[in-house]
Amino acid sequence: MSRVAPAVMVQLLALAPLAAACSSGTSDAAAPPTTPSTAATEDQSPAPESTDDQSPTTASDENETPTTVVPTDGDGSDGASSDDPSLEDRASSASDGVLAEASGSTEPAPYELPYELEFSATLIGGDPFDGASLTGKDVLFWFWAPG
Amino acid sequence: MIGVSTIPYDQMDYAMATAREWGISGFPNIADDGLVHIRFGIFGHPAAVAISAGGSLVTETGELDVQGALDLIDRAHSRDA
Repeated sequence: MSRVAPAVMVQLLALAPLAAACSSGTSDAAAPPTTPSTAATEDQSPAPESTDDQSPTTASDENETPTTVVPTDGDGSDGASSDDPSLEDRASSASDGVLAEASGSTEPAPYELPYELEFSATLIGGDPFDGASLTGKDVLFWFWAPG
Repeated sequence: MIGVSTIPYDQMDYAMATAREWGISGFPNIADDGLVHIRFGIFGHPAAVAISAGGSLVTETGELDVQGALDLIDRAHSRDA
């Protein structure tokens, strides 16, 4: 998803001056250096809202020609025939990947070792002792000192 | 039950003699050099810390009898939810 969204963003930003020029007329085409920056900033605000799932649909809603252009440059390969399915598949696979990563990262461990049990020490008598061995047990630590 | 003494492991003979004298050799006693005390935040004696199976922890400073120890564990259990 991180690959698709920036590519779509770039395409939308690149097409914004053209769309503005087409809508306003030929007189605006004479001043492209100023209009791209303003158009880009104007189009950049709605773009993040639509980057999740609706970037292809918004492009298709505005003009049909951008929908054919966006996937080809987004891929970097030939995708003129089946543009929308590839984007949908890619978006769905990307979203699935994100969800998988999110679910994998948010899955809590069945039991987390308390900080207090993360120690190793020596028992009276010389045997080693690992605090983590008490994980999942009811334990009472009694701290004492010789009088 | 785990005892945590302030007798470091380099004084093992003294620690073993004390444990025998006090009659506390029936359970493991750590010869602590201070690190376990610090980890549990214990700065006075006697003290007890109950850790439930769910990982909740309750600390009590002062003398504890058997019922007090059981209550301490129950308090740790009550914090699991």
